[in-house]
Amino acid sequence: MIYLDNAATSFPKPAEMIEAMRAFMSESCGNPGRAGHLMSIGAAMKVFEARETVAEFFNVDDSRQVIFTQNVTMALNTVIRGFLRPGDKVVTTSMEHNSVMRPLRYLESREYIDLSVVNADNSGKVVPSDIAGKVEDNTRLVVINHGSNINGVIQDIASIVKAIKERGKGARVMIDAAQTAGAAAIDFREIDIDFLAFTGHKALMGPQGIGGLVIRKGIDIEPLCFGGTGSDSEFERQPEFLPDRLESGTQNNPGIIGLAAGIRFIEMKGLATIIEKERELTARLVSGLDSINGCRVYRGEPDNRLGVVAFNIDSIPCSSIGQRLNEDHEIFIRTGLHCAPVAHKTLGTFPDGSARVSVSYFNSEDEIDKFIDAMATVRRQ
Amino acid sequence: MKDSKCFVTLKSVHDVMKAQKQLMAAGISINVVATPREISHNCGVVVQFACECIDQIETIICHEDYGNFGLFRKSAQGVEEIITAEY
Repeated sequence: MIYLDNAATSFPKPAEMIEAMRAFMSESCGNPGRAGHLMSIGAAMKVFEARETVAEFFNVDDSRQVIFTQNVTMALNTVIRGFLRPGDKVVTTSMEHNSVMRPLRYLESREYIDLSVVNADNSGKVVPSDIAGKVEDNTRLVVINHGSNINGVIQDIASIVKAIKERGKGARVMIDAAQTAGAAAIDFREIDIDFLAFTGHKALMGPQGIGGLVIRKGIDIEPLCFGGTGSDSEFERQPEFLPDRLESGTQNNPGIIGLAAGIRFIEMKGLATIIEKERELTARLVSGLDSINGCRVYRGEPDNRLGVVAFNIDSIPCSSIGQRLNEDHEIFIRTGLHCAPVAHKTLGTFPDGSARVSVSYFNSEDEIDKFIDAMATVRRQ
Repeated sequence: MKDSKCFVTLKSVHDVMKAQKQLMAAGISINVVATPREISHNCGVVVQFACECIDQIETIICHEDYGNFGLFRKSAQGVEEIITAEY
């Protein structure tokens, strides 16, 4: 079996991550903040340390700015639904996933916000001045996909944010780092963003069911969900302080522990080492696909892309490619529309979609070569 | 006063864990325990420590960005509120 669907969820997971979750669940899985016994306090300390790990990884001043969510979609919705006010203008790009476009289009359809979508070029790149030019006095939020889940193109976030801030309109910036967290360097303080939404189960090597949101200090967001937090327990109102304000109910504590262990694995290997390996695998992958007759490859520039590559071959439906790879070669990729119709329109792959291959640190050159050989066979059939 | 115990209350479990790590790193012996009902603070857990460390603890807690906190002394005579700070 060769797994090349890491943009959907990474596999395999580091043994260290699995062991950290096993140990937590079998030895110390109390409920943080819900009691004063050793099991509860021990679990609270583990969650605290995990939050510190996330904060350090993204270079966040204070770990209280890190909110755990069930996934990146929930993190994005937390800001879109909790930060925007009636009449606000929002700017986003034509490379967004539906986790951004659907909540924004919903608010637009209710005439709650005014939405501007800035077009990327047909490679998926967005020009910073194009986004900044759409920012007006009442623009409250700009949402930008950091790395495409279709063709892996990475936006020049630093230049985009700089251009937006130079407009001086006070617009806040959120980046959707679903694909880039753990696969590209993200320095929350340095790039000067206001919200960072990420998931744990992709390049951060954690389990499914855990993600998070980093919020710039001083920004208030109305919670999507209200309830028990283990704090302010004598009051019927929601706490005003983070992280409790945005974390109601028992959290996915085993997932949080797994996320932190995934990040520690990345730190142990070195993020730069992981990025370099994935770039080499991707270059090999692109080169192999380019050699297949009739194959059109959708990819970013070599130094500015993730290990995510989309392709189509002449008149072969992408679903047939995926089926042949699955059934004849035990190679797992994704095909179709990757929950990002606007991005497919931008890249020219709508409505048929594309085949997509996505690598991780655990893939090998030999696996890439076997995939290319299998593709050559599929092409001939 | 020999049998008294002292406590610092903080607003969240996160802050109690942060304080635990910080105070232990400073060499202060502490325990995190369920909040005594006489103190009746909002967070379910507090930091318990020997009362002779109270000045040292106040200095560390004040120096950091904890926001609201309280220092309490509990003895056979009852609970004495030493400091309640709100920021």
